[in-house]
Amino acid sequence: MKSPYDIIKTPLITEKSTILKERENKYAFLVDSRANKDEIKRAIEEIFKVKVLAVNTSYLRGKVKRVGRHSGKTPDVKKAILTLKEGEKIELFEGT
Amino acid sequence: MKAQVERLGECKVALKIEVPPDKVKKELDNLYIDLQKKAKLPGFRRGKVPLDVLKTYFARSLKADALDRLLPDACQKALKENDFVPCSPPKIEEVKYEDNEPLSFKATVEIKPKITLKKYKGLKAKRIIKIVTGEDINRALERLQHRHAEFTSIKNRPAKKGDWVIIDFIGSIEGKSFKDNEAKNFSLEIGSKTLVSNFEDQLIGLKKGEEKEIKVSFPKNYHNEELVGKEVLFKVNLKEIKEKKLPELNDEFAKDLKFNNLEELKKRIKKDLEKYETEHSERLLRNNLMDWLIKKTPFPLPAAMVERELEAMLEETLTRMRYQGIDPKRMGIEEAKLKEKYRPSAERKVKSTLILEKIAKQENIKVNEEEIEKRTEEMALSTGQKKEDLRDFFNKERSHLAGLREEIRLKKALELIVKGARIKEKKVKERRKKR
Repeated sequence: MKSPYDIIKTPLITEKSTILKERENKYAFLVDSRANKDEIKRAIEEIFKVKVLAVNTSYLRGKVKRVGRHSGKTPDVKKAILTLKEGEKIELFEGT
Repeated sequence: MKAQVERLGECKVALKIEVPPDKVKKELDNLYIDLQKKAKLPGFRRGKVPLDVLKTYFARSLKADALDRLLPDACQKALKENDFVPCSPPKIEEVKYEDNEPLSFKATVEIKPKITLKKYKGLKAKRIIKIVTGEDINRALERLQHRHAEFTSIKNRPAKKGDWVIIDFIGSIEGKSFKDNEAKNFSLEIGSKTLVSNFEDQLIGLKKGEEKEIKVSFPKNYHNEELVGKEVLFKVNLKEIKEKKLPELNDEFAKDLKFNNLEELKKRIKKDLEKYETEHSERLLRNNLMDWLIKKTPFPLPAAMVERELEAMLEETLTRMRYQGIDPKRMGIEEAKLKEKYRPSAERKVKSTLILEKIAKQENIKVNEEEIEKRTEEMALSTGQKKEDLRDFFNKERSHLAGLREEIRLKKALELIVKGARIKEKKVKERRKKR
């Protein structure tokens, strides 16, 4: 079985995600593009020991970047926004 | 804020300072708010980063920043509370800081000593003015003659005392050479005692182009340790003999020096000498007054100030040497020795500065813009800079301006002493001793 740490790549900390976290107890992560919502839910629950109520995912297409006449593409990523049970939180996002 | 004072010496104190936690926190918060305005992190627009996120990123460096600000600040306050005037940057040690705990640290600092002034008004002093006599003028004229002397090459007679000779020489000790033992085209006045005395005497009687081996025993107090007490054999080749011919003292000589006649030259010399003597006697007067004050006001000297003064003096000497084309390293001048040599005068300078500072404070001496302007002008004149440039420089470099202000203030304090002093004038023909 795949390790949960293979599925969850990194927490996504942006202006938008911080606002979501504060208002709606939602946490954003970048995840493996092949993972489905079920896998993501289980992985997060195992890593952070929290109860996930809902998972919303979206697939972010990479941008085409050019350096002179060479063009390349930044990688596609999958973003997952997880709603946690009220009162629960993920320490990783808390400031010290 | 709490501070415990511990005396480490006459002018050294250690302060144990505690800063309450809420003050630290306030400082930190201020820093965070400042930072928030300009911080840019990935995922956030500039200035939109929430404090929580900022804290995770910058906690450590900001804490250091806060300490950097708090420590000197607290230090200064503690010094002020205890009425200490620091004269060295504080050394801060044992910094302890935990969240929500008071910040504590130890600062060691040298302070200016407390000075209790004895009377400094109505001091007795003598202004000794030397009258410029005809003898002095003659002596000055003689120096001028020497400076404008002409040299004529001589071929038909051997060298005698008073001649200038150009020689090559190679020296050896028991057949071995030593450091700097050779010189080419060395000009030397026989009888001038530039070199070891019997070296020059043995050149007397040599003709142009002649070679001679001479033995020289170096005295015990010679500055080159390698040669002390040694007997050295020099091979000398006399290349040229020159006779020094002094110009005659007449109107012609004066005209060469851009004067109309000899009388005018003499007048000018007299004026210059008189000016020099007045300045000299004023300086002596001030020195004497200061010496007296220093003797009468005992106080401990802060080592840091003396050290700083020494550094400055040393630097000045070395720069002057380099300017004259002397390499201090080659001359075998050791900084440590030089420092010891300068120490007494550095100490004197620090003492007089401290006393004058105190007097200036007690008398409430202020310096106004006009005085600064005047001093700037004087400086511009003596250094050949433009007045405007100098003024701009001072306006830009505030710390230098403060230094200038302080300098004028101390000078005014000294003038105050001089003015207050009861001065007896005494005219003499000859100064007994030169300081």
